[in-house]
Amino acid sequence: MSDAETAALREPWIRYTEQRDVARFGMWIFIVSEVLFFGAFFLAFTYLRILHTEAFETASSRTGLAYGATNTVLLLTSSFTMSLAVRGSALGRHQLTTVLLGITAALGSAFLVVKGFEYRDDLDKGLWPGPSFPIKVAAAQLFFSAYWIITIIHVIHLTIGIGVIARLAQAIGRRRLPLVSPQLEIAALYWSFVDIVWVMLFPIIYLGGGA
Amino acid sequence: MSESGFWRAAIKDGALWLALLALVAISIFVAKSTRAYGFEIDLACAVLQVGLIGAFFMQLGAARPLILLTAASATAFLLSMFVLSLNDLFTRL
Repeated sequence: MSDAETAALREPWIRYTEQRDVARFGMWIFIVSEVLFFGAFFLAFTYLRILHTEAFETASSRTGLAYGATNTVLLLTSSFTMSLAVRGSALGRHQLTTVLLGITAALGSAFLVVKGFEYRDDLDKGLWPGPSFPIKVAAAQLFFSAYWIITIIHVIHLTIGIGVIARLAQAIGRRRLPLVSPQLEIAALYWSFVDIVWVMLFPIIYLGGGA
Repeated sequence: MSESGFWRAAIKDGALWLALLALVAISIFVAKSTRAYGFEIDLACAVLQVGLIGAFFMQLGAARPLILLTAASATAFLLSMFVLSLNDLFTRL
């Protein structure tokens, strides 16, 4: 084991490679459980869309495509910078890794800001299920019920990810965490998963409105 | 990792990023320009993006067999849940 790997070793592990492999496997198990969690939502959405296709298309056409597209670009770019941060850590470059982690967290925060403007816009248009819902097609409320639930849950996941990445950036920048620590790699896995969920959400929410 | 190895990997990641952005642009174009199967094409683009992110950003392609088995099992369960539920739905329509 190198000095860096020894510094990254935590109890109860006696070999760094075991610690790293278990950390990776643990994060994949968590990701799989989250895939099943979101998968249930996607299944329910698909089921409802097949039952109420026209209502869902009408509702989808009222979503803010510009907001959704902007957020998609922001998240894909953040996955790119996160991947570069992991590569930078393999190169042993503290400053490069810290800067890239900071950019990733900033892009994630920008997503939240755009999402906030989108939510405000949606609420101004009255797109909250209830008696004063503006689209007078019954099943359109089902679409927006699913929209609010699934996007808020995604925002919660994203916010946790931003916190983890910001903390990593600070710890690595202050050299309190060795670059070879598995924490960076598993944070990157989590962030890519959050990106994957949004990549699937984007077409079903924003692009289901038809031509 | 060497400096040149880092830049090679960074260029590959950059190419993947551009490919993902292109798929997003194609999805939006298809959604707005066609009615027939536009939504299905967009979903296919999304699944392709998921595959690319999983294989390259998450490095699932180079993962150990146990991780591949775990991911494959979850995917199989998810697909079977979709197929069986939709099959049930279509028998009632």
